[in-house]
Amino acid sequence: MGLKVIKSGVHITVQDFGRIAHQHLGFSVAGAMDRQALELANRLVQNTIDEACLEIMLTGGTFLFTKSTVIAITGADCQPKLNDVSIAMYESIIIRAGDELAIGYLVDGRFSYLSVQGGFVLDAVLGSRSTSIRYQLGGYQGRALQPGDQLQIRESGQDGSLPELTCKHDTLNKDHPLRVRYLASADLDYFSIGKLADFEQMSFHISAQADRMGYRLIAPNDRLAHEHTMISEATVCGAIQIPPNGHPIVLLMDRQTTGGYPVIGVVASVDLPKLVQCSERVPINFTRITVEEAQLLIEEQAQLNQSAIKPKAGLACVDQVKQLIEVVEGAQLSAFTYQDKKGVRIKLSMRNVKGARNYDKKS
Amino acid sequence: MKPVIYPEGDHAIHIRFKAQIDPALNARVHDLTARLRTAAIIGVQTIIPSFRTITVVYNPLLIKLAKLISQVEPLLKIDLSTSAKPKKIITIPVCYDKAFAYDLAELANYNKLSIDEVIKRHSQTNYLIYLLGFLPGFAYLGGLDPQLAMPRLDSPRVKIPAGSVGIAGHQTGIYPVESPGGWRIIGRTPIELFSMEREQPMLYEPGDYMRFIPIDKNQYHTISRAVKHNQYQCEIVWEER
Repeated sequence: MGLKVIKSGVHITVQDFGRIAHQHLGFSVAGAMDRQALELANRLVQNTIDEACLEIMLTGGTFLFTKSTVIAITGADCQPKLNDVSIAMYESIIIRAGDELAIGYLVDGRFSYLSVQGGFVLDAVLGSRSTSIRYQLGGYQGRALQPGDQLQIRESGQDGSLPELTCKHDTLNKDHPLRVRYLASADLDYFSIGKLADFEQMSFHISAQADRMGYRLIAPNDRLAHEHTMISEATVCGAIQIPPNGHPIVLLMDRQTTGGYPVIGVVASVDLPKLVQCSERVPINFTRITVEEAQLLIEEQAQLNQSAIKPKAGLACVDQVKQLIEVVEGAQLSAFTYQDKKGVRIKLSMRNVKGARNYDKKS
Repeated sequence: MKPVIYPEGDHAIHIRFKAQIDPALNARVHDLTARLRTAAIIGVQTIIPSFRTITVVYNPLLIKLAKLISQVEPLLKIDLSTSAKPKKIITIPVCYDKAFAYDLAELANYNKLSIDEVIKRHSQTNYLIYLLGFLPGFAYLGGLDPQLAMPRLDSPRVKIPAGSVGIAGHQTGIYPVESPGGWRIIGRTPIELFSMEREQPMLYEPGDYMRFIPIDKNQYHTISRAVKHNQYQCEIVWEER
């Protein structure tokens, strides 16, 4: 078997990179909102980067594993606990049959991702395992997960014997305001250079009308309001539509395939994860870049993602650490630093030691 | 007129013809779409035709904008003014019985036509499928008799059954799946417009034509049963342009 849902949060769905090739028939792309987080979650368990994961929106759930595997959790900090003990995000975690994973509220973003080594046993529908709630297709029975659902985990052939991995991550925004790079629409029939300047001077906020279809932004004034209509054409991910009221809508994964509002520009692909995870409280500014710059950034990002995954430091000395804790506890020291022969430095802080999982380690 | 390429973000381009909704221009859109698909440019993920635009979505890790444009440009220079391809017409049986046609009487009254005349006019046109969008398989059809036009309902219905045939303004179309909507409903087809069970989930593509064949309630139920057992095939007619 694999994973059983004990408690489900608001909206947990299976997502991969989406159903790209059937837009001409009217099928929305769907797919992970934060593709960067999905890719890293997969890399951490040595899956292909577009393997389907669970996308967890706003609040988590509880899962029982009925099979040993390796998992990783990425995206917004969702306070994961394994058998009631806090575990790290952005690390591969070894799971034994019978382990219970609890995922809490998402504290610094909107979406978290749970990958399992090998992926889930689910049929691809039109080339993708992504859930499309609106059309009730893909993912797990075309819907969000509910308590009692059981997902099978595919045999990966390298069960539990993976090197434990960790990764540097910086996808979540710490900036205030958030600077989002975008590419101005090349069609200036609707928006003049002057309008682009207005757009770039404004600070926007994400409104409450923000879902997987798109985020409606609140503009500080009506300087973008207009009366243009245009002939409908295909929409692209990250397109910044300007409806007549002048409050932009950024089109996202579950967007309709065609749209008739003029587009002022498109968010640079590398900045979409930050925007998608951004809080309603953070002001957003748009900065123009060129297609050439944006495509170089995509290349850099792809290289970074490859090099970001590293073996966990100090993994070899977990047993040593356990021994050390016993020694330090016995000596009633409050803090202790130890450096082994390989140069791995272990700093123990004894304020809230309950077990071996609470030590800080630095390499 | 030669279409123009506009980059749309860092992973797509729009190839746009003149801003108008016109069957001849749309035929050129579909011809060029076919040409682009045949070219099978490496890095191109999908091609989406609409009224006057072809959107090409690509993976910038596999092909950069400049290279994509250099490969697309020569295809635009080929003369596309005449389309030799015959029309592919998919015939869709539609039952205009009042059990399904919630708004047929009102629409006939609105346009000062008899119900039979509405059915006759609605079912004698080859409608051009300009594009599919809004819902999977929802076809934007061109060619509605202006005498059949009627504005949408003031307040949309919460649920319109799959297969419902409607009119909104100067457009006619079919709801492929159950959906809320404000179209005036004048009939229903027993055909499943899209089904994941079929090898080809969709019966038609943008650029094809659609014609409605009036059927009565008995025929509706007979076809409906056949559809359930995967034993019904819509007739396809080829017509020279």
